[in-house]
Amino acid sequence: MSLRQWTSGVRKEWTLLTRDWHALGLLFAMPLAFVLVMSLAMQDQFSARAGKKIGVLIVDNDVSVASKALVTALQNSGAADIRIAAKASDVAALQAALRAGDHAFAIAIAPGYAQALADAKITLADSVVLTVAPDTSKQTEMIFQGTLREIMARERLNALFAPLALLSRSQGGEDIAFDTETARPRIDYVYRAGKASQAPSAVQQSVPAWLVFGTFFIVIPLSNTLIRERQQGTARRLRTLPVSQGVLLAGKLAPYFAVNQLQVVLMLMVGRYLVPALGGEALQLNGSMAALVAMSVAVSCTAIGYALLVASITRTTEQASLLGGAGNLILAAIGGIMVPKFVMPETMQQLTNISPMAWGLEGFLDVLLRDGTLSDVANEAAALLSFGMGMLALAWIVQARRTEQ
Amino acid sequence: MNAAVITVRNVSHRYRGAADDALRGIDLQIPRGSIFGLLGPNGAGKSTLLSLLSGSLSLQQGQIEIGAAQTKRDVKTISAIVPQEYAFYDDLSGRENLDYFAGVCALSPRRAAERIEHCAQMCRLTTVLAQRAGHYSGGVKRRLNLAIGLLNEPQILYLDEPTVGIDAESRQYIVDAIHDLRSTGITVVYTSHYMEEVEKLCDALAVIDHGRVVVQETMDSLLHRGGGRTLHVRLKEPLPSLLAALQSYPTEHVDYRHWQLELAADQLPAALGVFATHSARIERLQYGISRLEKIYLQLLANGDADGGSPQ
Repeated sequence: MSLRQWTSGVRKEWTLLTRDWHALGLLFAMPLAFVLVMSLAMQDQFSARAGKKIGVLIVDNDVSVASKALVTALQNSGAADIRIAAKASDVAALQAALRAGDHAFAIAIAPGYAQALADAKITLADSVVLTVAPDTSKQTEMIFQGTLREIMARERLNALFAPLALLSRSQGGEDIAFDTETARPRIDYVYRAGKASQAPSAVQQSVPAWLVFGTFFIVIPLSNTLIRERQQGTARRLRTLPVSQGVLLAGKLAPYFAVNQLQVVLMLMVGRYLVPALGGEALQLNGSMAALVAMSVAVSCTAIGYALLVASITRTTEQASLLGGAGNLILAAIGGIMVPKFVMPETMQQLTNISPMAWGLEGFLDVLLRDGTLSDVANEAAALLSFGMGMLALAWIVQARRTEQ
Repeated sequence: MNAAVITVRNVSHRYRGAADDALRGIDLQIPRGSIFGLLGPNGAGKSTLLSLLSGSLSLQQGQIEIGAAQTKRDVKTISAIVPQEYAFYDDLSGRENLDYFAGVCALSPRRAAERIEHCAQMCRLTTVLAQRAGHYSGGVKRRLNLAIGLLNEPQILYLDEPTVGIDAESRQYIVDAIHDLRSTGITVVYTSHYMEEVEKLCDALAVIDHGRVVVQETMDSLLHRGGGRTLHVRLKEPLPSLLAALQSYPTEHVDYRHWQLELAADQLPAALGVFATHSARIERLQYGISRLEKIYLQLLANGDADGGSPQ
């Protein structure tokens, strides 16, 4: 390879790229905006600190010590933002309040709750009715149901054992009360060795996802520049010059590879410094640097290979932009970029494995969330590199056939 | 005429998926140091032949010998093509474009600077080198296209319609630049639809139609075909009064400046006397030749089945 020929190609391509403001916007501003918006918007979903609580409307028509204890227990649970409604609201009024959108649930405590609580033979389903708002997610409903059941079970146990507790106190013994706190398991987050208290944050999830997404958008400027060369006859002229196609390609791709690496660095810095400055949590750069670099290189190679294939199978820049852009959106949608993989149903989670973006995301998550080393990301990096090489080979074949047409 | 620098023997080419051959058994010999015209209607096979000669298409059948070149890389080192398209980068300046292509040709930075300066001067680009090429007029773009082709000091230069769609001034600049190349010993293979340009520049030419060589001759020889009785006169300024004076000869005039008379050789002194008595200031005078355009159209109409005779 002639260094002079290669550096000429690099300089030319870099100059063209830095003069293309649309491409720079697409490559830097778009993923940056996604990282910022998603990190800040989703932080309550991931934050270890309490975010916005679940609004619960309570109508206490029993007004007993037991019903007040139930309300207090719910308030103390920390899971709900309790608002006590006026007494004797009917079911229709409760439903109207839920439809208004301020609350996720309503709990109606019927008269006679206290008596029912103390009698194990009586179901509490008639005494405590949980009504769910139309826009409350199933996941939230299940979580809140679990909390409510736990509190009601504890209250019933305390009510059933109240005579025994009275007897114990009268005989100078210990008070008998069931505290479910003592029955809780310890919860550790497998987040970072030795720092189990640090739970994953929104930024820790968003940065890798949108970083992979942004990297793949190299497909549009790169395919467009290749197609323009073909359309303008520059490719034909270059084929007649004493330079190998490999050198030309290497000179063309190097600046795009460098831009991909810049994207990664910039995105990590945004997560590390800009997101916390705007009120979000800071990105923790866990895992090994070698693993991070390996993933960055592998994702870039895949994106470049994909770009070359798009350029070779399309005839106009419009076709390439459409195919590249739409292809990226589809790969992102099924690859767990737009919707995190862990909230997808099982079948969709399986489907993510066909998207190279999912391999890239998984590798970055291995590094940033799971303290991954080079060996931890070897499979993802190898899969990405193989995919990129496959795309390159396919593009080369298609281009060679096109040249002879 | 010098020895052939390019020899094409029985070359045929068919594009993938095409029903017919684009070239059918082409035989050509292009003399070293000549400006060689390659004429033919659109789709005749001229660009395919140029692509094969310049190495941008692979040879399927036949043989092509280019100078002493042994390999495809040798061919690319000694030749250059100036495509019909503006084959450079609009978002780079003229200098950046020249610098890039010089680098791709592996010219050292010092040599590249010298060549850029020389080619820019030759193609009259020095004042616009700092501007982005996309902002150039069509004529300046054509000149930049040509300058890029000259960077590598090629021994053979292929020009694919280098003056198409540009203003008269830029066309003249390019024609002058090509004319100047003659003194450097470079061989120019030139395609154009402008017959006057070809007639003025080329030493020899070949006409291709439907993938076959219809004729290959020197320009002189071709222009004498069937033109034995025609007097061409170009005046320095129009002279309408000649119309009446030349009534006795079968005469065509274009704009009172260009006159074309059908005369027997013994009528020639009298006819020239008419021009003299009207004090006509003659710029150019030719007798016994025809115009290339007329011959070209006749060749295409006849299909010139004899295939011409290589000179």
